Amino acid sequence: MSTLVALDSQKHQSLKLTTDKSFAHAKTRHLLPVAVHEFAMAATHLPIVFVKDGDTGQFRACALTGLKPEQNLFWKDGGWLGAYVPESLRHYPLVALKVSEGGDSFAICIDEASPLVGRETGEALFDGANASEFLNRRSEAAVAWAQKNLITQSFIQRLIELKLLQSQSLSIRLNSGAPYELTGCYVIDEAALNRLDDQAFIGLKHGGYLAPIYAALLSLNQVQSLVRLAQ
Amino acid sequence: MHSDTINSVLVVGGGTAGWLTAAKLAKSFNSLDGNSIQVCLIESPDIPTIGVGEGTWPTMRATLASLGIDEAEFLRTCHGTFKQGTKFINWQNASRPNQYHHLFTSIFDPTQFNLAPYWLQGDAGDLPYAQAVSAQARIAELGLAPKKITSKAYEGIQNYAYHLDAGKFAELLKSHAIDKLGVKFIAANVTDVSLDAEGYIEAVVTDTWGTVAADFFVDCSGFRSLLLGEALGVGFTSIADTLLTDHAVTIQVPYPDAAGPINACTHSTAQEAGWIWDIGLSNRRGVGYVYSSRHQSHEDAERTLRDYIGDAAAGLTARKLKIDLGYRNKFWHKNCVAIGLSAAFVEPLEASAIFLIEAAGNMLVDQLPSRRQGLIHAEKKFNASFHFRWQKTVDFIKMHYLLSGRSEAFWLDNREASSIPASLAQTLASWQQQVVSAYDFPHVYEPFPMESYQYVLYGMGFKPEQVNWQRYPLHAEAMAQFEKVQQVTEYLIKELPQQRDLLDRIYQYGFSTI
Ligand SMILES: Cc1cc2nc3c(=O)[nH]c(=O)nc-3n(C[C@H](O)[C@H](O)[C@H](O)COP(=O)(O)OP(=O)(O)OC[C@H]3O[C@@H](n4cnc5c(N)ncnc54)[C@H](O)[C@@H]3O)c2cc1C
Repeated sequence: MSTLVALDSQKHQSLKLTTDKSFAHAKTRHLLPVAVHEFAMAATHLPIVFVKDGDTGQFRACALTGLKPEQNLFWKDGGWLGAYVPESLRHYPLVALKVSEGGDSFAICIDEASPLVGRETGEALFDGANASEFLNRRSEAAVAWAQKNLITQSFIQRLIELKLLQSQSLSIRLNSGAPYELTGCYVIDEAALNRLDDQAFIGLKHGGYLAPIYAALLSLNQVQSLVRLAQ
Repeated sequence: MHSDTINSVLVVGGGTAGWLTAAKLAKSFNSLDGNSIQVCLIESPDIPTIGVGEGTWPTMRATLASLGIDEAEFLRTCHGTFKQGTKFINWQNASRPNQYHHLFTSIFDPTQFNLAPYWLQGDAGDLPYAQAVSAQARIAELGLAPKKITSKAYEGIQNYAYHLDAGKFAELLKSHAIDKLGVKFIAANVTDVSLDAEGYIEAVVTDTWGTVAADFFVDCSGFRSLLLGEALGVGFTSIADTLLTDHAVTIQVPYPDAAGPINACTHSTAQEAGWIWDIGLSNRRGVGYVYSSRHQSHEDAERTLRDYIGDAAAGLTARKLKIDLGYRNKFWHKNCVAIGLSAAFVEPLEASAIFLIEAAGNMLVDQLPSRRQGLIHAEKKFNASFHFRWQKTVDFIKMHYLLSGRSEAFWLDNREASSIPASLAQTLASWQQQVVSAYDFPHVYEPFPMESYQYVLYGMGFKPEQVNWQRYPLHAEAMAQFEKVQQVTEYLIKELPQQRDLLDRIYQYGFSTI
């Protein structure tokens, strides 16, 4: 259970954060959010799919890291296997959340229950009543990440408007066990993309959306790498 | 001089019937394009709409989707909630508590493999029928929603209809029809109707807008039936000797806790001289007692309703309505069709009125001829179709009463042989020998499906006495299916959110269109 609370210089004055390069918190996650900015880099390692958030029903772009819930094939023997680490992992346990709908200021929140949070080891979050140099750096990065997420949201919104997303269950066939379908994933509908009228297509180009669209399409080849890891 | 082609339609009346029909017509004719058939609606600024009619059928989802209304917006603005059927309470008898569910989803299609004869033989143990064949009885009892926030707009994990605020619904349809679909709107009272030499309506005369002409007219003026009944003189067949209720008294009840649970189905509780509906909207309940004034005085009826509500009824105003049950001898006459209360009304026991309005709108959209000569043929088809549907509806409602063992005068009178339509008596007799079958429903536009009859018959405890049970030997298969229903039920109970929780999320996030 994550327990997100806004950072407070009083309440959290003596807290320290350790950095975990193994990203153990992602050990049981088969979907990790990715921002449109990292599609191109992620696409050669991980399949990128669109899934609905269980709490909000809103679409998120995610890298698929397992072939069933609670499975992360990229996390093995105490460490992250992949050559590419999704950016979202690096910010944990800090998150920047919008203070108000429509506004553009962010509050930095922390998952208090995270094992990375403590009082003994790690880097101090506060220096007296002020944010430490370390926290400032991490906060800035978290805000930048939140902004990339917003851009990703507009990207997804555009895909929905143009009817470019389609639900697709992925057929998984492992050597052992019966074949099954991984449901709940949406992918870009290549045929619909090719049918777009010129104006809409140029619109995607001007929005800078074409590269991530093709990256997401190509990334689906990586389902095979997941199957290989799973064997 | 009228034109030979039908280029304009005038709808008189702006209740649920008027706005739904106008919206359907304008949408399908693409009236936004000025060269297409134009749709205009006249509504009296003085005469209020009936203001009740808050339970729908699942057909409403297709209707709203086809009009291009956003489901989340509809739910938000109309205080809408998800209806997964009706729970009938104390309908079997008045001596000990009893209830059954009439649901929208069965897990297995009974036309493929009919579980009812096996349930009747005891293959599902002592589970009530609805619980044996559907997950929805328990889902509704737990107040769960039929879908999740990740579900597509208008798509359910379980089949569902809506509860809605009738007044807000008419407002939503009105603004959508005018702003998005190109319906023209006139606020005026129709004071007169002018007919041509052949008895077709030429125009209506209004108090503030002069004369408004059109090629075709839709009478949605409510019980008064201004065009079809009054102007064209089409008579009314009362069914007061079949269905005995003639009044309703209603009260809107606020929730004690604005964030509390919401009923996931309509409750219908039998009373001394009728029955009480209880519909949970997101912001209040709508409760009403439909009764026979020949069997209970108005004062006693209101007291019955207040007793049902309990302490919360103190200080709330009750509204009394007279209801005339019956139908017009024709629904379509020359260049006028009546839709809604102007056409027919039966007591709202199965929330059939709005879905027959939708059905009439659909048929009109499909069948309105492009030329005047085509009207005669269209009229015949329409009247035949809707006489069939209303007659079936009357039979189905009446069936609820016939199966009851209650012994108050109202209930005994309802089971009096002379009050029972022959068609219903015959069907029920045949169901003593044969379980309800798909062959009993050969008509594509049967208003209530086979499953509805099964839920009501077997829920009410109807036991066919003359069936040769050897005809149903597939016990192992049936038991496996009953078992499967229970598994699916357990799974869905874990998956589905509370109705209130889902509504809160919908207000915040909406539903995705994919
Ligand atoms: C007690 C009760 C409970 C019900 N419950 C349900 C239910 O649960 N489910 C269901 O499906 N249905 C139910 N119904 C039926 C449902 O309410 C109606 O079918 C539905 O509201 C349609 O009504 P309407 O539009 O035909 O008429 P109304 O709402 O009466 O509208 C009539 C319109 O005509 C206009 N008008 C009248 N005279 C003139 C004039 N001279 N000039 C201009 N305009 C005029 C009025 O201004 C109004 O806009 C119930 C009905 C009753 C009585």
